Amino acid sequence: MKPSKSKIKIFFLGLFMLPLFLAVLFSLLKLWSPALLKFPNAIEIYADFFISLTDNSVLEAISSTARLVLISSLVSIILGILFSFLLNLNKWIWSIFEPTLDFLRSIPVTFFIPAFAVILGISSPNIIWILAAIPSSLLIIVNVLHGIKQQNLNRLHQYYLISGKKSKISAFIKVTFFEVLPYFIAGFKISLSYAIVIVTVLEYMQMGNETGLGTLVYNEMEQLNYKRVYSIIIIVGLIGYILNQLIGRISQKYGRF
Amino acid sequence: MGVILKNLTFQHTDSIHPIIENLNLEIKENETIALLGISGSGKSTLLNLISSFQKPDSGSIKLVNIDKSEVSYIRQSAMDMLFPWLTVKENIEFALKERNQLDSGAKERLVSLIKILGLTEKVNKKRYPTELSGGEKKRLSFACGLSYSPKLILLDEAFTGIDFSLKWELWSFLRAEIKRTKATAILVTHDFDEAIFLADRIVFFNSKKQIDSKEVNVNKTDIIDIEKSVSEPSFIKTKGETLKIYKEINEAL
Repeated sequence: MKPSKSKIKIFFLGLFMLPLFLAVLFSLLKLWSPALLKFPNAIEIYADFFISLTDNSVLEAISSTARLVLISSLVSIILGILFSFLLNLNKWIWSIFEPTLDFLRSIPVTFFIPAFAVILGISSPNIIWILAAIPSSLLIIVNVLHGIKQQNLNRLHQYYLISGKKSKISAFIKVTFFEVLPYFIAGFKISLSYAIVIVTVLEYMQMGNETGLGTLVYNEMEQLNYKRVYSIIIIVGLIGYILNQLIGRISQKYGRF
Repeated sequence: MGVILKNLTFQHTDSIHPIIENLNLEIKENETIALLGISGSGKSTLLNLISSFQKPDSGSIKLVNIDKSEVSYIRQSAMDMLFPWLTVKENIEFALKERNQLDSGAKERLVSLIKILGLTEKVNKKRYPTELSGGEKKRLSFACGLSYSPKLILLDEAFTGIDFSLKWELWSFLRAEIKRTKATAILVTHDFDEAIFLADRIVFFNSKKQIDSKEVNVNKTDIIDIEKSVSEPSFIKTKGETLKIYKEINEAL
């Protein structure tokens, strides 16, 4: 179904409002910040943003962060789906592991750093995506399990009747998978945002990585280069926005039911 | 015999009394019966048991000359029967594809089924079930449920919530299909006209077990026009008798 003209207009208005909103924010920060800090104005920030897109160190950082987000997302998809279906094998397994899952969900991922630092070493390049994959997987597990619980049992029974089959595997492939898909996509969308936040924060903490957008923000801040700091923040926001739009499109196509 | 139910008992886990208790019922091959009774009397539960959706606590269900794969269950909620991720055409072809029976003959039959049910435009435009109106969803659910020419058709208030013209259209269609495939059918309904028009026999249910069985004597083969059939003296007589028994049962409760 094609979007209406008014929806397209609102979409472009939203795109126009974003830089305007940021410009107001930057101007207010400049207004209230101590003169000593030499906060840049909005024009300087936008000029630097476009320059930064041609800067090799920024491009390298984008690629490094994107790689870590991608790895952690892929791992969380695999772990999320695998564990959800293992936990759903029967109600007893789910009941046994439910308290553990809820317990883990409440703990900020940064609290796991000491444990993983001991196992992998604080300078391990893998520590970031592993830590990012933990909450992302948990989010997918919770959503997929919810989807399985919400699935229409009448429809599942209908499959067995009209297909003339009894195989649970074929029922899973033909029915349950599609029933759960919207829940999986919703979980993945949130987990992706989590992954971006966690990866950049851990990079900022200079964990196991010498590059990445988080590391770059830290380094630029050390040098009081606020223009670049803001530019990188805009880049991180844009990456998140683009990924959200992408998942939104996938969700519209495959998860609209 | 088509379906034989012996001493059937079933109790829901959250209920203190069985909803079906020691029910005995025999449905002949090619026979259509209607189950009439107040809500909560166990009519839909009986269909769930026959279709193996639920298992009886005791008693037996025997399908004679009917394989379990030849059962169709058309429900009140069309979306319970449809796969929203498939297009209208894919939904209609789904059963036959799963059974590896989608040959050219079957395709031809499906084309005529689609035409009769007025779904050609939706098929051509590759619409999804969620893009259809309530009536169109209902038609599609009939197309899906009857696409594989089932030998036992279970209908659980399948005509509820649709306008009269579509209801009458679907009644005629169903009757023609039952006649063509020589199927046995069990329909749960609250509509006396529907029961009399479609069924050979009406079985009355109270909250515990089958209470009375009534033969419907309407010469169905001669009546194609529903408007004409409802004004037939035999139809009016049967409706009066049905109403009387129904009232007696409810007053006895």
